[in-house]
Formats: sequence, structure tokens, C-alpha cells
Amino acid sequence: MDNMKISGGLGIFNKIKTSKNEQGIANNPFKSNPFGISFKGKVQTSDLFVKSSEGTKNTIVQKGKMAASAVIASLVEIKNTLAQKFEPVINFAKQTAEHITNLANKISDFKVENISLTAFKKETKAPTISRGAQKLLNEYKDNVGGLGTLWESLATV
Amino acid sequence: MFKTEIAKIEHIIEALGAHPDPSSIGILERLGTNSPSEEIREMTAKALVAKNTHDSLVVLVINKGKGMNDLSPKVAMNSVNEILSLEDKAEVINILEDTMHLHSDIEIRETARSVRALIELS
Repeated sequence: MDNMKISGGLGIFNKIKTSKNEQGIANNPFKSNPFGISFKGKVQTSDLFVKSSEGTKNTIVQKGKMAASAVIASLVEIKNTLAQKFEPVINFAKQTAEHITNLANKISDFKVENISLTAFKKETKAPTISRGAQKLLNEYKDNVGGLGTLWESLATV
Repeated sequence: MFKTEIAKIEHIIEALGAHPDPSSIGILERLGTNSPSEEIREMTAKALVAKNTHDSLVVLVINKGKGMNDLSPKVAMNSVNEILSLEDKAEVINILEDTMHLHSDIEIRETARSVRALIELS
């Protein structure tokens, strides 16, 4: 009788234990998949407990693919965000480059002939001669020796 | 010599400087560069430089005691100054370079070298 009571008690205990375990597994998926990867709140389930005959190789490949797809998705999003942010900068650079090209064209078309250097030149004075010298020059235009004689006569005074 | 005479000689020197006859250079050299008056030697140097011909410039460059080789520093410096203020220095540069290399007197060669350097710097 005692043995029957004990075995009956153990049976009830085992049933309760099993049902509790089943409930726990159903509520928490990580318990069945402790290596599950989460991206953006969505759990990527992957059964790691595969048969040893398939080996760990397939598992690693599968997980790699998942990670790669997630990384690519993130990169695309980053690219779009950056493109939006840099759009005004790119437009500004394009506009500046256009202005520089226009200026370069204007410079290449500019002719040196248009520059007048007269403003930078020193005024060259024509050799001036005093009125007295001009009078002597006219008087002795054809007789330069006369000027020499006149000079000698003055020097001896 | 009185001031009035000097004023008249100044007019004669000016007239000779502007005279187209080449013999005017000979008169300026004979009477002007040999004058005992510094003032007349200065005026003569100015007139000869203003002519800017080979014959007129040679008088001032290669002759000892005349033009830029004058014993009076005032006359010599005035001659150099007139040469430096020439607009067309081609002829004077040729004469200076020949003097630098070919003249027998070392002092005249050195003076020509100095004036040539001053022309480069001016």
C-alpha cells in the first residue's frame, strides 16, 4: 500500500513538472533557441541543434547569410541618409565649379590689347632748352664754330 | 668769371648740346670738360649725355679727369647721375663694357665697372 501511494505521488509530480516545462518553452522562444539573433526587434530563429552528421558548417553559413543581409540592409539605409544630408553640399560644389569654369572662360577670352599701360608709364619730358639757348641755336644754326668763338671770348673776360 | 658770363656760357653749352652738328661735341670737349670751373664742367657733362651719341658719351667715359672720371667728386657724380637717368642706355652700356675690358687704366676700368653695375641696379 505504501509503495503504491509513493509511486502514485511520483507520477503526479512528474506530470506537473513536464507541463510546467512545456509552458515555459512556449512562452520564451530563447529557451528553445538560445543563440537566436535579433534584428530590429524581430527574432531570427535558427535551429542550432541540428544533427551532428550535417556538421556545424551549414549552421555557420546560414548565420553568416543572415548577418550579411542585415548588414547590407543597414548600409543601404546609411547610404540614403548620407545622400540626403550631402545633397545641398554637392549642389553648392557643382554651382561653384560652374562659376569657376565661367570665370576661366572669361579670362581666356580676355585680350591683352584691352589693357592700356599709359597710366603706368612715367611721363617722359622732352628736352627743354632755355629761351637764351634757343636764340643762340637759331643764330648759329649753320655756324657751330661761332658758338665756340663766342664761348672763348667770354671765358677770357 | 662773373655770374653773367657763366649764365651766357650756360646758354652756349645748351645750344651746343642741342646742335645737330657733330663738331659741337668737339667744342664742348675742348672748352667745357677742360674748364677750371666745376659748374661749367657739370653743365658740359649734362649736355654731352643729353646728346646720347657714341662720340659724346666716349668723352665722359674713357677720358681720365673728364666726365665720370673727373677729379671733382661733384662733377663725377653729376655725370654718373646724368648717365643713369638716360632713357636709352644701349650706347652707354656698350661703351662701358668695352672700357671695362679694354681700357689700359685700371681706375677707369673700375669706374666703368661700377657705373655698369649701377645701371643694372637702377
